Amino acid sequence: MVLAAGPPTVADLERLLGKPPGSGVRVILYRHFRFRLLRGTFAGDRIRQARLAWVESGRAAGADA
Amino acid sequence: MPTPEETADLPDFDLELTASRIRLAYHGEFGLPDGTASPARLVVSPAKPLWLELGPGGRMHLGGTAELSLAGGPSFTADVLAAPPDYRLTVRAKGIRVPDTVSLTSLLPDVPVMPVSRGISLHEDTPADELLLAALRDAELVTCASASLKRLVAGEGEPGSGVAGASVEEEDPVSEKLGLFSFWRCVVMKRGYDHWAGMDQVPHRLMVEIERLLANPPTDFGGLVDRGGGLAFEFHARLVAELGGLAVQVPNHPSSPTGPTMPICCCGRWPMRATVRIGTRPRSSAASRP
Repeated sequence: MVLAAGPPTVADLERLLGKPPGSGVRVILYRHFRFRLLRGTFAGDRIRQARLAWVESGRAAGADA
Repeated sequence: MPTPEETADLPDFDLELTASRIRLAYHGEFGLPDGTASPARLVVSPAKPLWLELGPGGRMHLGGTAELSLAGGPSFTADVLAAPPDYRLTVRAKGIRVPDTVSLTSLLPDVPVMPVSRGISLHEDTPADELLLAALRDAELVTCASASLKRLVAGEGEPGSGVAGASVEEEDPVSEKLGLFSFWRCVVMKRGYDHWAGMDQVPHRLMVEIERLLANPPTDFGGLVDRGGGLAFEFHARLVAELGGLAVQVPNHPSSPTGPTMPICCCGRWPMRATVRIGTRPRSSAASRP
């Protein structure tokens, strides 16, 4: 697998995890809110130009990854 | 939460992973489930997105401005506010656009003049108790309408004076426009009393329509009433639209010594704004809020 140089992106993660391009990476914010991270570039403590989508079933409290 | 699935595509948006809260932007057009077959639609401009704020412990806050469109044509500018413990949508009666085809305004006659003479025109053989009852109705109506007239037109009197349970929210642009409909509500409620000048000018079709509106719910226009598990949002929103249209289009009556006679009201409750609670039943205090 070849990764482009530079900050990792969500697309890079998708490839690393063997996910279809554009499918996103599931994330949980504050242990409660489930999202799919669809796009963005990891840069230190932030994700630049991030775009997320709700995961309906994850809106309940206590959801895990 | 009435938001699209995906967050807005903002080129400058960074998601801070260590922040104590995260703000996500949404725009687009999406439905507002209200338990009806034709729910209202919210249209959010990319220039003014809704912001959803998430925080530890499941804390959420949604705020912003949207254009609210109802089936049939009326649309509003709406303040969207969703925050714990209640999630509400506040609709401001601003920028109201009501197509003529759905407005009651064109059906309304001129506002009748408050009767100067309170004579009771019953037949001579009317029983005494009926005469007394008619006189009491007469007095109640005139007293109440007079108090409302002073309070709303001339700015006199204490809020609620002369009207049980009434209150007027100062500087609320909506409240200033609701008197006329309240007046007609009173006319309908007291339709057995026919001494009000101009009562015979009320078209039957209008009376039927107002009665239909009033019947659902019959008394509370201030808060949203949960109707069979659904939200009676459209009813309230349309009511606000009608009221806004009425206030604009009904001219002041020239015969009033204090100015316009439009805001006469003799009813105890004053609708201020339509409020939708998403996912929760209205609390009794909020539901009775005028």
